[in-house]
Amino acid sequence: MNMTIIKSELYKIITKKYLWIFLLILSLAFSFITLQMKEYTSVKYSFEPFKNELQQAMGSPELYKVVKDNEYNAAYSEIKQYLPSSVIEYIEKYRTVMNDERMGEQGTVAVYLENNLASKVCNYFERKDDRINEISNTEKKIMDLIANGKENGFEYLVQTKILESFKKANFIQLNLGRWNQFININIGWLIPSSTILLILLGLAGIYSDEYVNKTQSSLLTAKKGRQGIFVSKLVAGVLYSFFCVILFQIVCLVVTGYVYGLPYNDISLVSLFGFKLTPYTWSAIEFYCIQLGGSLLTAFVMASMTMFFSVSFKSALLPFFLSGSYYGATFLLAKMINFSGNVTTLFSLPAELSPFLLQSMGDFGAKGRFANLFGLAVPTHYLNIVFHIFIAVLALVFCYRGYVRKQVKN
Amino acid sequence: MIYPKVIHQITRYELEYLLKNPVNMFSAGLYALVSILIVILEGFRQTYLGDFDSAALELVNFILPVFLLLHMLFVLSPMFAEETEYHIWEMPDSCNYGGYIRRLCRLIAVAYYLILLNLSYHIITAVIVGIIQPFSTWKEPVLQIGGEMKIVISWAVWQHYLFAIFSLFFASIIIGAFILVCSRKTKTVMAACAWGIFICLIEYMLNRFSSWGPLQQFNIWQLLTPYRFEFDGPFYYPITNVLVVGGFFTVLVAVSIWNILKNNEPL
Repeated sequence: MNMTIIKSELYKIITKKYLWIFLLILSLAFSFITLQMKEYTSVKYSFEPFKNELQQAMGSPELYKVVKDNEYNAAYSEIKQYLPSSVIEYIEKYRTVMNDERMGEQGTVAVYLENNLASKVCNYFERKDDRINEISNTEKKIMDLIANGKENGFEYLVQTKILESFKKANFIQLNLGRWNQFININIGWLIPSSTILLILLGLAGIYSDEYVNKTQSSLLTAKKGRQGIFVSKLVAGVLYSFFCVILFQIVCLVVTGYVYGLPYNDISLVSLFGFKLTPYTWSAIEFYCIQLGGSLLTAFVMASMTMFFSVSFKSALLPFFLSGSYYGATFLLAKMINFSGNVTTLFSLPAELSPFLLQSMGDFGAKGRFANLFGLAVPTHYLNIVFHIFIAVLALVFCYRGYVRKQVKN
Repeated sequence: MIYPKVIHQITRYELEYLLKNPVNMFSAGLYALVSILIVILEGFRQTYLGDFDSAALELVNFILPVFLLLHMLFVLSPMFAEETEYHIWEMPDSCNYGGYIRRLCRLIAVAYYLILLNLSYHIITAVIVGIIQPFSTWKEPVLQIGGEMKIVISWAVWQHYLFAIFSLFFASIIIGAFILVCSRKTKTVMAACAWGIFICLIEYMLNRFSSWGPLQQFNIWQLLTPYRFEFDGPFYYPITNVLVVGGFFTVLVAVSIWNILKNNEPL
């Protein structure tokens, strides 16, 4: 390994003009999509400053009774008496302010805020009850399995694990903040797939371009040796792929933060929309970091795979095609799959072992998924991590062997 | 004077070059495998697609377009860019009949290739669906495609399929022309491929996220997902929609062909 070679390898990658144009336009596309939201009333006005007062009000059994009696569809007028006066005053301030008609919104801001708050309160109680029901359903399933003499089966093992996790999990809090928008950066398809596209475009030619540029023979006989060149290319490739992930994340954080405001208070994952049945005790920030870690791992795996293909072909197109096919096919499967139940089946395995699901862990996070590994119930995302680390190591070993055994040809 | 025989010979050579590409077998084989899995395995279908009326329509609207698009991207992007990348671009231009005839023959070969490509994918689909599902299913009316219940035209499965063939062929001509322009204008195959992907991605994002109707409707992805023309097109009738959107792109295709044929050297 040599810093000069690493620098020159990095230079070769980042001097491809189209990568920068891509990066710029994809960032602009994300900004355009997100900035469209800024003028919506739901984005401009938030109840987050009243989080503590509202959370305290949610403890009222009378409020719960009103919401429950209205089948989780209570109107603002029905719950108003249980809400803190500061929140009511905040809403009243906007009694004469009209919504922005350009955004297709009618009426006054106050009416919108009333409806929005009523729906958030109803949703809070509905989610809490759904979770309690899910726990009792799981207990019932376990009892049925025992009654049917299936207490040694895999389904029993999975349901027991889920019940344990449910009991350990955090309480549902009132979700008034913007954590869902930040979590969605990686749950959506745009940022994860754009990041990988940029990595594949940058690295597909890392070895094969040497043939085209007729520098292959010189590099194979270089003073630093083939191992030195291999390690330098590997370091440059991994640095570039991490750079892509981090750059995209920074752009998205800045744009999302500008539009929705930064979420100062952390919240439990179970409180976020879409995660009411999660068996995990993570907080929102922990979940964001886990997705970020998954993105870095995927970047490393795809970089290793692309480098392996690149060392095997004389054209950059084939490595790009093969790595892209792997990512694209598993990505499509992961987007198409109907996650039902908690057990990973043979049919769902190709989708659940998708590298995309390491970047975007919404489906795994929302509902625990377990695979049967020699009778053990292993969370499928752990299996996915181990599988991809194995793929990356295998790709790098073959890449190394392929490169150091190359013949010098004119 | 250029004899048709010469054009025929060069075109045949170019077509052979296109047909020899390993991506053809790989992509068609993978498509056949995926189609068989979807049509045969109930568990696989339930896991990924849910219930649907017709396997042929699900394949032609959702799976086939993706394969067709990627296939074209990887086969057509080296057409001109490869010569520039290997520094041999002057050779075809200095051949007996000049660069113009060579480029013209390439365009004709690509047109033939696109016909063959479309045909082969549709034959694979028809054979797989035909073997596994009874012939009578082609005559049944369609109530939903991809879970969308908005189907307003009372066509049978075969009529929907015929419409999809028509729409996908338009789409492949347009995308083929764009990729060839990218290939002509760039110095490396990767750059040509990257620009092709980029155009398709931007079109997809406009189709998906734009709040302005014309950007969604006059879009390559409308042609690539033909069923959407039945409820999301500029006009009411799907065939009119294809003709209008296809007509709009014809202008761009004509400009692209002119750009490819004119005697410009690579940058």
